[in-house]
Amino acid sequence: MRYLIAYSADSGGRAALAVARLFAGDVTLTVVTITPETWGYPSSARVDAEYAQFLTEHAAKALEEARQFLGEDVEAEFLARAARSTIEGILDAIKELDAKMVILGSARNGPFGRFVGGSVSDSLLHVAPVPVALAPRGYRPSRQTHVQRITCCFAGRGHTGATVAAAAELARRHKVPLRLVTGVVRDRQMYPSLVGWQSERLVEEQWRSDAVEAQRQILAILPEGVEATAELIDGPNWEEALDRLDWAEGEVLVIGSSRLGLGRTFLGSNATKIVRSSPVPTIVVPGAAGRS
Amino acid sequence: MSDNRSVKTALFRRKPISAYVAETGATTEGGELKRTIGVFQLTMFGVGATIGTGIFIVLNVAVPVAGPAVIVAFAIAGITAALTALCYAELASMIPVSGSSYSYTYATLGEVIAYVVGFCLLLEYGVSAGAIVVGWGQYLNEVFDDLFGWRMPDAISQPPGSGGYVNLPAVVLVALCCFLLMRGARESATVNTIMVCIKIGVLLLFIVIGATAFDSANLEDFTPFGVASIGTAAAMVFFSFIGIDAVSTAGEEVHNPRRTLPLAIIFALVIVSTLYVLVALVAIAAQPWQDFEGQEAGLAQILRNITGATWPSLVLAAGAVISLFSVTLVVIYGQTRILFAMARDGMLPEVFHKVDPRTLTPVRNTILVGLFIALLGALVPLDVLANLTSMGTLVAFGVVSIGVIVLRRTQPDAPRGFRVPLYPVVPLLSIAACIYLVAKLPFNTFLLFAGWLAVALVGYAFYGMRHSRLRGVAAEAGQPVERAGGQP
Repeated sequence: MRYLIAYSADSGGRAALAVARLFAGDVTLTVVTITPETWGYPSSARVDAEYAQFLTEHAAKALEEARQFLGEDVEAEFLARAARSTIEGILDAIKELDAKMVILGSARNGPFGRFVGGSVSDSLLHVAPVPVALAPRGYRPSRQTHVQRITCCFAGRGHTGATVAAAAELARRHKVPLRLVTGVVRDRQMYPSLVGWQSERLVEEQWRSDAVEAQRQILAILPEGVEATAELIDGPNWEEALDRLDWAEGEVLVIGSSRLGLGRTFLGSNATKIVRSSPVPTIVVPGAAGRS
Repeated sequence: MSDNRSVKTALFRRKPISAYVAETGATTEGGELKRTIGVFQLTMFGVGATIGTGIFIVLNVAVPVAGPAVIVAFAIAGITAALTALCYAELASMIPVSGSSYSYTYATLGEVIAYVVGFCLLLEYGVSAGAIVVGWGQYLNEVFDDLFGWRMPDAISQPPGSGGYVNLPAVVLVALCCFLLMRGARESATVNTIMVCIKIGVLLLFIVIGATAFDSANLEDFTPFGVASIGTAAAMVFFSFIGIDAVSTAGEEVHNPRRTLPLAIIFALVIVSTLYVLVALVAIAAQPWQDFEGQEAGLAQILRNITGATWPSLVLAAGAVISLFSVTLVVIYGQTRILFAMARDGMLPEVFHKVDPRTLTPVRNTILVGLFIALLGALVPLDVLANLTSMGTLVAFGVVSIGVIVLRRTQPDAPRGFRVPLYPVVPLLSIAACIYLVAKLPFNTFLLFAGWLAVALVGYAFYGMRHSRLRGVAAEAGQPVERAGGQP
């Protein structure tokens, strides 16, 4: 079992390594850095030889930094790959190495402690065939922290099963408890509602009892050996709702892809907000069609 | 054979107020809502919720009935609306729940009457939405005419019987609104304010420009159909006061409701009635009353006729198109939530209270409501819809007024955030006014309404009574009592 870290030599890359360290020991960690491809055949007078040389050295340096960051005690492999684009390089590496997850860092703009999508993660979240873990900006638990608990945030109906199954699988793989969370998040209210401000409360209450029922059903069919609890959260928006949860150090959040995912990762509207507001690393699992 | 008594218990079982409070979680988490709304805001809220439901479309229905006396009809309808809104406010302050008159009736007068009121609300909301979307289509056509000199052919913009097959613009608008609601769209306070400004703005524009063509000769034959016809017209234009009850439902958030609620209701009605009366006066003075019949997008047409230019009618029609859109959105929203409340009580099939987990909206409910309204808008003429709406609303309001009296007698000590002034004069007057207006509606409306009531009663007998959540629970005088052993 192998997890891939898509590494770049910056703070985002280091946050990704910090997330990877949560899983150290349970799986093989492979740090991959992607460099631009040079011409594949001898060019006249080898004009790009120096450039190619520079790239090789750059990659080696980056990987050496990664090795130092991870530390002696963490076993990992280090690879440099040349590809026409970063996305292509990552996708090829996933396929070739049969990786079960790919870990990415955050872009540099945006708040500390939250994940912000950059060009690579935006593209990868549309096409990745395996779960994608997103490290919040500046994520840095203590070195020895191992993953403590998997929290799975799900809506409660439809293809939810695939998301929960993936989260349960993760929990079993890393031998940690699973926590199911359903959010009752309503951030908007019809202003001149004609039927009173309470009407949305009624809808909310109905949904709350539906969600509890859905959680109960899912708890009943979880595979053996997964210790699971369930919770409801509510709030005027996802930021506050997620804030009301207790987060253990080394906890990770698992969410599903949109129905449009079809076997690939694809963030829906709620998932986008969750990713933006999560205080812990978020793992986006692909849509159902990809699994049998 | 032993059922006689139990059926009677079933028909008049009441839902305890405490059950409502528990259901909406009104008192859990966060405690009391902040009481922040003052008289001014609440007045604006009432004006915003009221204007737009009828004034843009109802003149062409009501003027051919009463002639210039329709001006008086607006005043009568306004007074009735004020009386009922006050009664409404007392119940709303006692029973802080959604579902409006349906819920209030369920808590006071019993299940079968609540069921009937629920069906009346289907007229107030669903059918009025049908009327509004028809009017929207007319104003949209007017915009096309002013901009491009082109109108949609009658075949796709008129209901059968008026020279067409289907009212397509109406269907399109309903579909749009339902789509937005299913996606979880909401109208914010800001949008509401903008809409209120647009509505008042275009009405003022109409009054100012229309006044330039004031011809008192048009008013000379003031009551061509006699004084009695004024009542009929008042019943028809009551349609344009729907929405004033929205003020009453804001009780929870209102600062000092005892003072704020009646003041806001009265201010809102004074503003709205003044605008309506002025619009009616200007419109009638601008052209002979005989011209109103068959006119479409009436206000815009009048502006065009008197100015000879297209821009005033274009501005008015565009304002109407925008604001009627928001009104439709709000009314359809209200309808879905009322059906939701009824389904929660077991009065309607479960499909009406299924919530979609992604958008947290009752999607299937919204689709069904949309289909119902689209069918009405596409196939039924405007005057029939407007009359049915008035009928349903008046009956529902009348029942609410009765509810006030019933609760004063059965639960004199229950806490009320707001009490009707001059009890029992106001509720009695309110009931009398509702009965008077209902009695004046045309005969075919009564037939349709009777049919509708029959549907409601059949629905109750075969569904509501058997699936009611209160089945097997004896509820009396607002106190939940423990479950009875089994079915008799």
